[in-house]
Amino acid sequence: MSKPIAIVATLLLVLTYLLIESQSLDQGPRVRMQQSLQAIQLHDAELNRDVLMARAGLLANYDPLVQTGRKLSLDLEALKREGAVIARREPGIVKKISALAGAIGQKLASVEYLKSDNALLRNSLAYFAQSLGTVREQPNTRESTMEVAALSHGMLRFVQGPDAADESGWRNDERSIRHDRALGHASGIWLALSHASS
Amino acid sequence: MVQRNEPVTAVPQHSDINPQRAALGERLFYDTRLSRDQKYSCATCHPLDHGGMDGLPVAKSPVGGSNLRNTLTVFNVGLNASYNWDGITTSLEHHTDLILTNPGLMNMSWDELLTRTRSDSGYLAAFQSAYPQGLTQANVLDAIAGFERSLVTPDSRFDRFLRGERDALSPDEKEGYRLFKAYGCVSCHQGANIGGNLYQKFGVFQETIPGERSPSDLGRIRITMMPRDRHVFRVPSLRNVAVTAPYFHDGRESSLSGAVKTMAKAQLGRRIRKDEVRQIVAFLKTLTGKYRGKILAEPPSGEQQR
Repeated sequence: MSKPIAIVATLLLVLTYLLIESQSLDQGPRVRMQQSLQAIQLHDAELNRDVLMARAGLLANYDPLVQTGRKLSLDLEALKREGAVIARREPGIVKKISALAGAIGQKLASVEYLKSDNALLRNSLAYFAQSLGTVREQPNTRESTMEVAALSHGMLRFVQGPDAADESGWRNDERSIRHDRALGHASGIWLALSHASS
Repeated sequence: MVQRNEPVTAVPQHSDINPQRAALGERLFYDTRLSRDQKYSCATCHPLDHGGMDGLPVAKSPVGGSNLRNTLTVFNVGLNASYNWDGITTSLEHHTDLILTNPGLMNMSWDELLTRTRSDSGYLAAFQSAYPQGLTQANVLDAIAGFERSLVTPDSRFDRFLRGERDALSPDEKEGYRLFKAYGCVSCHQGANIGGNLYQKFGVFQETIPGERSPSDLGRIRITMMPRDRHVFRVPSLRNVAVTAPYFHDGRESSLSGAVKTMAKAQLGRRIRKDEVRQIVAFLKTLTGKYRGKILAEPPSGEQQR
């Protein structure tokens, strides 16, 4: 008889403990904090996807980036609210949430710069392609046309994967074209070079 | 002509704004007791019967002095990603707070504002009914911001065109939209508000702010302290642009065609032919929407507003 009594007593003890734990103030905030963290993960992934689409010229406008940024900020506010409750027992959590908030803030600031730069890039690429097309109609030497083609190719490579070597390559092409008198009169070519430089 | 993936989208026709709270916000919007000298309300600089802005090159400060900028329209403000020319905040409630407490604008303290509004039994009852916490600072901001978010202007001819009404635009206006996209204006002026969702340097290809006559010319660098943000401003919305002259942060340009030419040279590095400017302007005029069923009108003249 003593064994079943011990089992029942143990079960009662465990259930009582779980009941008290489930009713403690910490449980609600903890669950909500986990939900906020999951929402942050989800919206961060959405933001990454939209950034890549914008970079590839596949995002029709920047509204999705703004909307996802707003969602991330709201998630973060919710996380801070729940974190403040949990911090009464675990003060260390404040520092962790603050670090996460800093990282999200930096990311959103970077996205702002991406939008500004991407707008210029898209505009310049369109103009660059159009202007270089006009060079073919100019009475230039074959050599000059080759230089322009090299610049065009270099710039496209730079846009695909910017690195210092590519940049120095097309900047050399650009300088060479700027010194070419025959091309100097080509319609729109100087402006195309300005777009390339910017 | 209309592609599936257009960079510009129509103004949303439905919203989830609480009508009771928005009505309260409307009352506050017109209440001069929200300014220290009780002469100015939000509607003083944002008259809703005239484009939602004052029509002045730069706003007039109630307390004198003029470090202010061109007043941006309050219509469709809820579609913006951030507020004022520098993008000082991304929260409309926070922006409203900044305007109310700015010593150069409404010049109020929250103690004074809440004392004045709480002395009005109508406000007290309305806030008690609309908000569980009643009349508080947060709820005053929520009500005003909610009303401002309700200030959308759907049903412009261009939005009707986007929704498939092919005859809503004339051939010239359609060509203007094509040029708007082909010349690259749409690189910055895109989305539902046709701008308002990114920052850009004013003068990418041509110096536009020689000498920086005023600190207000500095732009977003005042917020971020980053050198690259010098002369960078929030790209304004082009919704209702035909009724919100003058243009740019300092209101330097009084005509829409002049603004288009300046943008073409300074931002796109292009010179646009006269007939093309005319067509782009024709397109821009189709962006004028309706508020409460009435097409927006421009201010008669800035000076007459005050």
